[in-house]
Amino acid sequence: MSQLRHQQERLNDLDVRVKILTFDGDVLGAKYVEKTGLTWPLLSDVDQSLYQAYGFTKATWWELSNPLTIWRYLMVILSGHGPGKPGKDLRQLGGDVLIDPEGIVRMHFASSGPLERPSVDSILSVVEKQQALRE
Amino acid sequence: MNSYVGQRAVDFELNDMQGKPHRLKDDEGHWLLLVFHRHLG
Repeated sequence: MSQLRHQQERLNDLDVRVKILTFDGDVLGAKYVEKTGLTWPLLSDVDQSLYQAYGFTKATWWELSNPLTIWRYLMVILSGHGPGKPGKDLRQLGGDVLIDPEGIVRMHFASSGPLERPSVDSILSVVEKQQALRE
Repeated sequence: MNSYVGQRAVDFELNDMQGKPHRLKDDEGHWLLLVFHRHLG
C-alpha cells in the first residue's frame, strides 16, 4: 500500500482511480482511514463476495509460515513498515484488479503469498501500453 | 493466461467507511484499480 501511495501523483496523471477493499469490517476500517490519512475510498467487502468473484483464494498454512515468508515479514518489520495486525482471517490473501475505462479487466493479480503484490510500475505499464494503443 | 483479463469486470456495489455506496459504473470512463488489502492492522 505504501508503494501505491508513493506513486499517487503518477496514478493521478494517468487518471487511475484507486479503491481499496477490506475484509476487516467498518470499525477497523474507519480507524485505519483515520490513522493513515488514506485518501482513496476504503470499501467493505466483509463477506468477500467481490474477492471470491475474482477467484482470489486463501493462503495455505505452509504459505503463511514457511521460512521464506517469515524472512520476508522480518525484512518488512526491520524496514519499519510492519506487516500490521492480522484481521479475522489470517489466511486471507490480497489481490489487485485493473479495469480499463470500458469496464474490461486488463490486469488480474492474485497474491500467492501473504506479502506478494504487483509493483506499481507493472500496474502503470499496463495502463500506459493500453493508452498508447488507443492513440 | 489469466482468465479474468479481457473479460468484463465484475459488477459491484460496496459501501465505504462512511456508508456511501460505490458502484463499478461510478468509474466508467476511467481506469480503476481495485486493491484487495489483506489486513488493515
